[in-house]
Amino acid sequence: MDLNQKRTRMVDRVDSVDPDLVSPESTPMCPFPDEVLEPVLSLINSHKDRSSVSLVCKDWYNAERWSRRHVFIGNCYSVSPEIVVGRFPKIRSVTLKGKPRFSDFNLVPEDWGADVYPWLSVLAKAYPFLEELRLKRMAVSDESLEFLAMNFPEFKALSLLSCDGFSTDGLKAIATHCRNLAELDIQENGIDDLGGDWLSCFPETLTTLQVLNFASLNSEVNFNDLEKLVTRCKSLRVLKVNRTINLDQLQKLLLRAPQLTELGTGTFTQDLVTRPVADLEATFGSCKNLLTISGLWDTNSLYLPVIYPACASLTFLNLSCAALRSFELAMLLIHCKSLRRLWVLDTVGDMGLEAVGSWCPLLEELRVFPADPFEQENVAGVTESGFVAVSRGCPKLHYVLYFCHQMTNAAVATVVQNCPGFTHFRLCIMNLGQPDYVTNEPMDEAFGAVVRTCPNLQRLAVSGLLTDLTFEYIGKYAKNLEILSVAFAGSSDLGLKYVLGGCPRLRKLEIRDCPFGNAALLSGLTKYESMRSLWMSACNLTMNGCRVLAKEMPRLNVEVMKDEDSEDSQAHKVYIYRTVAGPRRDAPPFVLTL
Amino acid sequence: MVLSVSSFFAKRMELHLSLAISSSSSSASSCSSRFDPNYNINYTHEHSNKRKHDDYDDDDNDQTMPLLVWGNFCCNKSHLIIEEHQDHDGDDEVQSNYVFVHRRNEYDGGAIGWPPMKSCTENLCQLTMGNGDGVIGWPPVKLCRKKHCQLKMGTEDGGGGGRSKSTYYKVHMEGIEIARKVDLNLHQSYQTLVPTLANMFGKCFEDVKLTYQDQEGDWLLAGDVPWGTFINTVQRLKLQRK
Repeated sequence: MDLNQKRTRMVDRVDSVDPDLVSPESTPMCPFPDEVLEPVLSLINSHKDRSSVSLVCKDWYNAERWSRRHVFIGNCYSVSPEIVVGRFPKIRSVTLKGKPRFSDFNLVPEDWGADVYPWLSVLAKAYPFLEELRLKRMAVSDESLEFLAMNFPEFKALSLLSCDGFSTDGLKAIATHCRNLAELDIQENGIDDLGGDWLSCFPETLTTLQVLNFASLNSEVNFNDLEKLVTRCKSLRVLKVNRTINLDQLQKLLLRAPQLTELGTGTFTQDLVTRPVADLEATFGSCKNLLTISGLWDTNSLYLPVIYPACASLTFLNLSCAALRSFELAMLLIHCKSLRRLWVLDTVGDMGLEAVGSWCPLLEELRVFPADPFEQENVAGVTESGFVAVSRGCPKLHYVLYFCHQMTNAAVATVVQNCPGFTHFRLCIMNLGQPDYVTNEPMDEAFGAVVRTCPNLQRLAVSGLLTDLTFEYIGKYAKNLEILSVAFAGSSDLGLKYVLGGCPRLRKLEIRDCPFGNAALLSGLTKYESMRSLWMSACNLTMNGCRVLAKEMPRLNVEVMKDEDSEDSQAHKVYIYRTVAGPRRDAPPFVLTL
Repeated sequence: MVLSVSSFFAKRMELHLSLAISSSSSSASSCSSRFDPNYNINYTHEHSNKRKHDDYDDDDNDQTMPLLVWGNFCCNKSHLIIEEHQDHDGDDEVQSNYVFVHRRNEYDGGAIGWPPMKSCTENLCQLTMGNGDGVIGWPPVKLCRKKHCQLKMGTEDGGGGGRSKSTYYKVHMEGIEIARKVDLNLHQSYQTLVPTLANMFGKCFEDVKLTYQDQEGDWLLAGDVPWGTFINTVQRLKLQRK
């Protein structure tokens, strides 16, 4: 079975493959009885491995499906909940992802879909003992959260990332009814924050909490209730509070929970100093297990140093909410010799990044976010020299997300030469169509260098002025590329054709505002079934082109989102994904499945 | 929208034309001889109108890009994608050729000098789709994350009634999301304060004017009242561009 065929059958790791077709001869040479096979297979956790296991033969397919406890569904529309529960009888943990990633940037209209409720009602019947639910970019209503709280008595862990549609009332239901809750992780959601009283809904009997993250909520919670909760949950290891928690309150919490491994602080400054700074510093010193610190809103040179005693063992420092200047970052990083992951705002400047290169030799991941992404004049931020400085000092760097206003081909080539192990390279030159500002040439050679030099590259986001040459390089060299993001780039259909003709491992392709048309789209006919999804918006696609694709490939859903402004024959936003569930039954009126 | 944009464009902007490198060399050369910026702007606009009445079944013969795609103007760099024309090669594949038109910053080394065109670009910004900042969803920063980090606290800072008086006051700069704080105790006059504040945001003090919010919640221009009175009533500060 060649690779492409195999991948076609793996629809987001949940197959509807008829087991009889898997292997014509299912008489193994060394038969393992089920009693041996199932316990062995239950040790396998990787989804890719489990998919491979299920394709070996009918016995292994059955053993695998009975031993699987966690199912990951990367696109909630690629499969129906009925198919999932039909194949896997004993699931304890479900991960579901919904909307296309560009919905994070307002490119997907509201009410597009990805409602979790239909899933919950099926899961409640099939998996009454479900313990974990992790959702990303799903539409979650308060009713769904209430349903979840009331129908799964063993429920332990809820993680909501970039979801929307719910309010703090839904959280009240979870806090009130989930008697065994161990994890409540609310991140970056479009949540209607009606108040902080949801936290007070945790019953006094709840002592099992291990993870509590409400950093993205705005309302003040009752601090007494929070302190009591933290005190009685002795296994709490992750606590990320919101900005309303001040330093005095944070100190009290830390004294109650010195065992924390991940801490998200509240506001990290105060006008009124009720405790000496030294006290705070000592408290941080007593937290011997801290690996991650985040939050640090509003912090400054006066208060940031209190965390120094905890920095030596830190592996992840998230400063993306703290507008630090270069010297503040430098002073901090001197203490952070074990740092593996660092997120900062570009207020630290190139000098701050030089400090990163100097003090963090073990760094593997760097993300530099723009403090003023929509400010267009006189912005400082970071440039190519900061990028190069980090690469010189951090040879283990393999994940970068870098927002800047200017870049050069030479700098990027230097960076990847210093760090050839890149797996994730996401460069965002914020000025559209920006060429190499020194040579005025397109940025083609930069990304050419990336794909040539980094054989392990899995994820790439390109920006700047780019011609088809960039895509020729990508198609030719990026053998392990799985995710590609393209915006405002390319010169003709050839660009997309190069990518679709190469990149054997491509899974997700998202494109906006590029001059790629129907011919390019149709050149990838055979590829789309081996991919999770393709997004193309504001390109050059027409309804007819999409109809041709839909007709040729019945196992794809070809969805077009109609825009009021665009003409009838234009396909303004197109989302294509493989599915075994057929066309969506819950599509809103503006989504046409062809 | 497109009408006013294109006439604006035609009247006020100078363009530096650079051709996108196309792998089809014949089309590249044909572009350079035929391209006339003013012509093509109008052409694209008219062409789009014409398309509405066309009744082609086969769109492949007649692809057009969305009319004008505007980029990030206000930093003096714009990126316009203007559709040139279609070529059909012998195999009936359509290749579209796109011409990228750059406006370059006058600070770029070696680039053709531009007038900065601020007023014009600001107007153009109003004409784009989306949130008025420019192109929808660009740069790709999660909006909830932005809001999450820059949310203003509900509590008062500095000099509220009854609480002990702190001398740090918040300063906002028009157009910049991240505010700063300044210790007013270090200053005795407007003459030292304004340049200090301007410097914090990388501006020249001649380019800004200082306003402040008093205890009644009104915003006033700084400088009318004596310094001592100002210190006693100020709640927060804002710098605005002149």
